Amino acid sequence: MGFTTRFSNPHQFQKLANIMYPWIMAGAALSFAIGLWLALVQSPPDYQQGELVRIMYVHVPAAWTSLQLYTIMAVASAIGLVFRHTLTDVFCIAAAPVGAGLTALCLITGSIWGQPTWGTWWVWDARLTSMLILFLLYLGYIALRHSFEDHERGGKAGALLLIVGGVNIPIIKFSVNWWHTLHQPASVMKLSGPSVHSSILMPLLVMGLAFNLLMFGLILLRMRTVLAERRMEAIAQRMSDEEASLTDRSSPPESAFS
Amino acid sequence: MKLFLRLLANDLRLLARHKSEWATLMLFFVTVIVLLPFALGPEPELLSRLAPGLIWIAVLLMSLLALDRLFLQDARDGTLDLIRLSPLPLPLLVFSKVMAQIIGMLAGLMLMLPLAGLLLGMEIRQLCVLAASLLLGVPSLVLVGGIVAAVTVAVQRGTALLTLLLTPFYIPILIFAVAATDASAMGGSIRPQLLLEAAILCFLLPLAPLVTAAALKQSD
Repeated sequence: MGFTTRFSNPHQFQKLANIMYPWIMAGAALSFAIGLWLALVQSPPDYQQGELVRIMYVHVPAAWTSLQLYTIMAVASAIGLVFRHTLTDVFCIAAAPVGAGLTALCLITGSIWGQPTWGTWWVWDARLTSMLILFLLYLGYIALRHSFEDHERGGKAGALLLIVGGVNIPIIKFSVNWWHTLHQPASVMKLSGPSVHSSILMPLLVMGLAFNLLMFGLILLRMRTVLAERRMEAIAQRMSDEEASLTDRSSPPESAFS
Repeated sequence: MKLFLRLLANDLRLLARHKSEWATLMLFFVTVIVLLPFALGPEPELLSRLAPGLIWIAVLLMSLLALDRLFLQDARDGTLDLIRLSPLPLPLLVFSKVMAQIIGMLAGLMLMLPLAGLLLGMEIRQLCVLAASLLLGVPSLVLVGGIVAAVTVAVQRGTALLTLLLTPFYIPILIFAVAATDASAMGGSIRPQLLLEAAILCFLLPLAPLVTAAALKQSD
């Protein structure tokens, strides 16, 4: 049994997840502690923006991880469709709200950052617009999954949507950049200060690691929840089926399938 | 090829038999155009400057209505199951259906466009550029919309969902389409914009029917 197929069994996966979960969360807590200390205490304030620049240490990792997660979901969906791997769908269900949350965090912190530096909560900047579209992609996936009763059908429909959306992301990115350069507003200040110094880069990378660990920790937690929910559904289904067959002896057994 | 043409002719005939649906779409398009001056004010300069964008928004809204019904009827009355039993490849059947829809929509739009242009006070030149961008953009809309329509075909009351899901896919198409008319309004060359629109269409033309067919296959 190969490495990947072994963990397509939900039971095996849960064993592994139970072992990994506390370690990942502990790692997330540790790297958040180090990262936040580096970001909020150690790193110097920006010569133009002062203390305000510290928003970046939440904003940028959120942007990284949200993009990264969508890519992982699209690849996982492709694997799930091709190899009929059952857990990829559970992964995508569990990951989508986390991704939407990260994208929202990125948009909100960006907005809070934009108000004092640009003087407005929102501009139709190319990057902002792309993040907004990414947020819509996450919401669309979540909405699609919620409108299916049947897990298998919903899973396949969702997987196709994720793959098509994944192919679409570079096109969106390119078109929005192009659109933005066409309509370049004059007032927007660009944040191209000095090239990134290591005193800024270090906390940023540690925060990136922390966000990654937290993201995967949360996904693992949610995957366990989804698996538990499905098992509950299966048990409830079986119980109601048994009840029906006990009380309803007069009808032919085929009726259970209708 | 011959087979495909026969399929297409059949789908077009089907579309022609449902004239009222088609007429509703066109009426919807004109209604949106008629409502816009009331929302924006009747100044001719303002309207003619915004006209290409407004017409594109009306087309997008109309396409949402059309896509909502693209596979729904066939899925409800079981036609889709019969089609899937046929020995012909499903992507080909889907392609023919989508092409028929595109031809129907484009024909209607080309008929309505002079009227819309007149109402919004567009110049002839601007109108021609807009027609070109519609001819290249609307097929992309329907092709990519077909995928999403197929994904949501099993969902009850999927219209709102369809709108949400389609937005990210419509944005690139809309950007390039409106850029062409913008460029012509500023006196620039419209060639690169139209070529980009054509590039999107060429990308979607072979791939979208395959994905749509895959989505329909798993829809039951």
